[in-house]
Order: sequence, then structure tokens, then C-alpha cells
Amino acid sequence: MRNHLRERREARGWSQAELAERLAVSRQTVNAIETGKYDPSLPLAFKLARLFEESIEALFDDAV
Amino acid sequence: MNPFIDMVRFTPNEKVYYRRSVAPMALFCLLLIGGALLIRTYRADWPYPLLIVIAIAPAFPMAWFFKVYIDYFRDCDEWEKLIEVYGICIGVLLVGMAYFVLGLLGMTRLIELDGAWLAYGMLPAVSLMYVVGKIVGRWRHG
Repeated sequence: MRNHLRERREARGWSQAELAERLAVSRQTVNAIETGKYDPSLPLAFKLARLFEESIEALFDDAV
Repeated sequence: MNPFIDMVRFTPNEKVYYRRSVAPMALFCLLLIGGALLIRTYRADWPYPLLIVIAIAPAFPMAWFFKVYIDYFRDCDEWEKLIEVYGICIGVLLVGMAYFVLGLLGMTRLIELDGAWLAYGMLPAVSLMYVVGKIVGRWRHG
């Protein structure tokens, strides 16, 4: 699944490690989500949406 | 960042796990080697319970190690859990398949099997395949 996490994160000036800390996950998890190799669970997607103050649909794009 | 280097980097949770694993694994190796050396000096008058203790002693630090692993698994985030499940699945399934094939060959008397060695080798084989599974999981989802 494509997503816009990297742009959102970089727009806030956060490193992957900083974002990981805010989400209480490992930096590798953030990297896997950003590169589209791992789709987060619904709770983690909600956490991301709340953190970036956007909807899940705005962060994740399920169009192939 | 080089994706290969990133793939082999430990997560903070993994670092804690490997640090906690050192003591049980060191004790395991000590008891395994110590037991093997002790058995070489075996005398027929040794009491049976002592032989049992020497034989199964390495299983206790292994149980301690499993406790460390279960604690680590509990603390894994969802991506780490996925990678762990990859490792466990591939480890168990490949070794299970290998043992099944060996069992078939043994039952048809095509090969001679030593049951004790097979049982002894199962855990190391699962552990080895678990590592392979983790590498595959990280490669696909890392």
C-alpha cells in the first residue's frame, strides 16, 4: 500500500527514530511502513493519523 | 541508508533480548560441554538419578532462554512480531518437513536413523531455520 508518511514526517522535520519514539515502535517498523513493505494495523494507522492530524485515507492510498 | 545494512541492524527490543540471552546460553554451553566431558568418565556404579541430572541439565538453561524469548516476543511491536512469526513458521515447517521425510525414508528402511541424535538435533535445526526465516521476513518486509 502506498502512503505519504515520509513526506509528512519530513515536513515536520522528524527523523524515523523520532517518529518511532512517538509511536512506541521500532525505527525499522517506521521504515518498513514508509517503504510500503509493511502495512500497519488499524490501531497503528489511527495512531499515525492522530499524530499527523489527518485522516487515515489522507495518509494511506490503497489504489494499486 | 543502505537497505542491507538497515536489514541486519537490531531493533532496541532485539538488543535487550540478545543481552538477556547471553547468561542462559553461556550456562547452556557450559552444562552441555561439562556434561559431555563428565559422561566420558562414567563409571557403572554412578547412581541413576545423577546420570539423569547430568543428561537433562542443559534443558534448564534452555527453558530459561525460552522465557527470555517469550518476554522479548511479548514486547515486540507489530512489525517485529511479523518477522518473528516468519522465523518461527519457516523454522518449524521446514524442520517438520525434513523430519517427516526422514521418517518416511526410515520406515521404508532406506536409511538407518538414530532416534536419540534426531531428537537431539531438532532444536538446533529449528533454531537455524528460524534465523533463515527471520532473514526472509526482513528481506520481504524490512
